[in-house]
Amino acid sequence: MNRPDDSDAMVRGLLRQPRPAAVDAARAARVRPAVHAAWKEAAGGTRHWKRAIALAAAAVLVFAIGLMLVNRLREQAAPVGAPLASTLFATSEVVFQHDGQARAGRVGEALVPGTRITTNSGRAAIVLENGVELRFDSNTDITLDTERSMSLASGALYLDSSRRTGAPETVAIVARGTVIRDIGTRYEVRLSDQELRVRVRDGRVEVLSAFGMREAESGGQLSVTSSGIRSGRASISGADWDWIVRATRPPQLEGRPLPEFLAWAEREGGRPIRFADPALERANTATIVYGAIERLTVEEALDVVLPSCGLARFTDGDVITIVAADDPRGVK
Amino acid sequence: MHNGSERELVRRMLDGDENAFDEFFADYFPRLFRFAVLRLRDQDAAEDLVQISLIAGVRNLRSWRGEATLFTWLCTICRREIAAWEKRTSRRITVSLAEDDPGIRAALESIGAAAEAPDAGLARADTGRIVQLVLDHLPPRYSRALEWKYLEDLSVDDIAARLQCTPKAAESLLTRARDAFRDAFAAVESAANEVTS
Repeated sequence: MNRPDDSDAMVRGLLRQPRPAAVDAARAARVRPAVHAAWKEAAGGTRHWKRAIALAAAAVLVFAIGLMLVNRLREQAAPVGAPLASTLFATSEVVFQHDGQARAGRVGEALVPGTRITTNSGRAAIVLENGVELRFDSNTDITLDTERSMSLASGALYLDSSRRTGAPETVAIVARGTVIRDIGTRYEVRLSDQELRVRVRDGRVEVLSAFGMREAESGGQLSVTSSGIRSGRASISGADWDWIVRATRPPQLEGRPLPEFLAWAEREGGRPIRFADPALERANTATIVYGAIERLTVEEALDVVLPSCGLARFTDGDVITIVAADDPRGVK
Repeated sequence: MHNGSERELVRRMLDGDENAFDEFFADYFPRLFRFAVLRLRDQDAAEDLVQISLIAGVRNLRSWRGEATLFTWLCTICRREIAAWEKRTSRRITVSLAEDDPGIRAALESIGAAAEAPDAGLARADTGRIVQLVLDHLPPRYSRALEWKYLEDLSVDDIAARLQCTPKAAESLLTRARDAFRDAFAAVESAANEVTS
């Protein structure tokens, strides 16, 4: 290559050559929180007040993440203030805050970026524009940064992306420097002083923390603490999942076919539901459900609805089997 | 010289200086991302692996001794993470790059180690890519100063203000940066030609 002797002109010419595209700022915004958290942890490692630093860092981090992600959203195409979710359910204790103003949560309300939801002793559920549903347990504090990113400061959430529409973009939950991303799944995140726990009901979840990236699949659990991340097994059904049913609007099943109720019970309860025999199933395809199931757990709802249909159930392992009401195996 | 500023940056990071972290992330994330994406041809995978690499880097900052530049050291971590990812996922999509040729790599790494001898190695026609590669391997202050001067046409006074130094110091830094860039570009281009000839 011929280059002019004048190094000033040469450098100018070279620097003005077309170069690879700049790195997408959104990527930097996604990566930064976990790197920052890892750095804070490491930088505090030699200090006796490491724990205090970590706690302070977590508080700063939550704020910084929220600010950064909100800014990122503002830089993107979506107009400022465009709703990213609507409220499916909110008990009277739930408070929404935006632009410094607090108000009681209302069902059907559109939520814009930057909205902070505190459930206090209540519960709430929202659905994102893309159909992903999130439910929040009591004592939860979460900020909706964008449709694809939220900052969990405390409490617990349940994410169900099984009815997502459009592009399969993941939703990132950022909590104390850890990023949780779903890959077509339903899972729970619970944040306490001691740990961040992720339990996967189905599908797969990626958890990226200061200790690296780990994945968990259905029935898996990951716990992130100040000393590391460990994986284990978790039940995908049972009493400690009951809160998710109480954190969303009850299904309108009055007058609906029994199979619709059973599909709801299977989805919410986490256990497969089968008829004991095909003939019994065929006989009940048109059975209509009557009775209210508001505020009932899945198990309680089954025990209310099935007898009214002349049916009963029993549980074998993780599978619920439906039998005729006079079947001795059925729960009375 | 620039190793000194990198040492200072690392020292400040180890002291918990937030501004130092900001500088570190702003300087090295884009470089490492370009490094990874060139090899993986998959931006999402590159994002994840760069995140993991940077986390490993900041957690092990004390082990960086300054023999290689900070960027070279981070690239080493990233290469290891890419290899581990390939093994974990049974995927092998990394791309063979001219800059991974030992001669070019040595030249690139020498930019930092010898403080200003650039590197080598890409297709002749890919001048822009060589320019970016050289900039990525120069000390961040050099790269920034060069772009301010030659792309944004900032005056020396403005550059001094941004660098928070005197105009004389800025002028001196610009001279060193320009020489470093010129030499590095020549070395990388030469090595690239050898690889492709």
